[in-house]
Amino acid sequence: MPLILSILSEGDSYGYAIIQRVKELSGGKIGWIDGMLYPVLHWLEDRRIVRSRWEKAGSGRKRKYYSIQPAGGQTLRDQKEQWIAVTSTLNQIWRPQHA
Amino acid sequence: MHNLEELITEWRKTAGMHNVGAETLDELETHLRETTERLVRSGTSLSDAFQRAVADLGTISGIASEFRKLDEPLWLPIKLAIGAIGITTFAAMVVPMLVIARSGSGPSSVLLATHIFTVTLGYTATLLIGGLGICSVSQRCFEDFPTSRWHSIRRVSLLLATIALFFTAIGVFLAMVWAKIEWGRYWAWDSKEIGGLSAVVWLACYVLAHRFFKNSSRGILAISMLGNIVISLAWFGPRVNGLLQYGTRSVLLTVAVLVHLAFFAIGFVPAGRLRLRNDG
Repeated sequence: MPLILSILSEGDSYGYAIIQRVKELSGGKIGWIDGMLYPVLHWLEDRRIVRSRWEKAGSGRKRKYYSIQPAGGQTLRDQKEQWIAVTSTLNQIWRPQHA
Repeated sequence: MHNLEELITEWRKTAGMHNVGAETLDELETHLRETTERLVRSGTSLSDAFQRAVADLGTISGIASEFRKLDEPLWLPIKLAIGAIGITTFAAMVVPMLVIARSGSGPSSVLLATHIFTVTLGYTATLLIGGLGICSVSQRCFEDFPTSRWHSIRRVSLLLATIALFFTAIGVFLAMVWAKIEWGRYWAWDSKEIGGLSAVVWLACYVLAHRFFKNSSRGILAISMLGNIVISLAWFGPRVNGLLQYGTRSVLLTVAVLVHLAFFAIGFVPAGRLRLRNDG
C-alpha cells in the first residue's frame, strides 16, 4: 500500500504504469503478480483513499487512472512514519559491529 | 493486431466465468494489451507475448478470489435491522388503518393515523441504531472488527438515522396540526410532545455527529445507545408518568435506561481490555 500511494502521490497513474514504476524504482527486485494490484487499488478506492476515472489515452485506448485523495495523503504520511521507524530500528540492529 | 483481438475475446470468455465484474475485466484487459504490446515491441511473437502477459497477470481465479475478499458478507445484526425495519413499516401501516376504521376517515383521523405511522417508523429506526450499537459493543468484547465492518455499520446507522429523523419530524409536525384541530392549540409542552421534540433533536445531533466525527465509527455506535434512552423515555415515559408511576413499566424503563448506560460506558473502554482470552 505505501508503494502504491507513494507512486500516486507523484501524479495520477494506472495499473500497468504503477507496476512498471515499482519495477523501475526497485531495479526489478520487487515484483508481484500483476493482477494482484487491482484488488488493492479497488480496496483503496472503497475506502476513498484513492479515486478512479476512465480516460482515453493518446493511442485511443481507455485506461483507468487513479488519483490520491486527501484521506490517502494522511494514510501515506502515517505509513511513512511507521516505515521510517522500522527501517531505522533495523539499521541499528544490522549496523556492522566495531569492536 | 486482429489476432490479439481473438486472443483477448477468448481470454474474456474464460475470465467471465469467474464472476469478475465487466469494469474490472476492462481494466485487466487494458493491462494485458499494454504488456503484450511492450513484449511485441521487444521482438517477442504476438502469441508468445500474449501468453506471457496472461502469465504475468496471474490466474483469473486467483484475482477473483482476492476481489471476493473485498466483498465482506453483511453483518448479521445489519441483516436483522433491515428485516426489522421492513416488518415495522408493514405493521405501522396496519395500526393507522384500524384508527381510520374506528374513527372514520375525517381529516383528524387521517392526521392521527399518519402520525402513528411516521412516529412508529421513526422511533423503531432509532431503536434499531441503538440495537446495532449494543451488538457491536458486545461483539467487540470477543473479537476485533475489520475496518470494512465498521464502515458498513456506520453507513447503515447513518441511513437509519436519516430515515428516523425524517419520519419523526413529520410525525411531530402532524401531531401539532392534529392538536390544533382537536384541542385548539399546536403545542402545550406535555410529556408526549416533549418526548417527540427530544427525539427529533437527538436524531439531528446524531446525524451531525456522523458528519463531524468521520474517523470514529466506534464512538458513533457507542453514543447510539443514548438514542435508545431518549426514545424509551419519549415512547414509554408518558405512560409511566400517569397511572402506573410505581408499576412494572416504570421498573422496566429504569432497567432499560441503566442497561443502555452500561453498554454506553463499555463502548468507550479501550479495545482489547474486555476481550475474553483463550490463551490460558
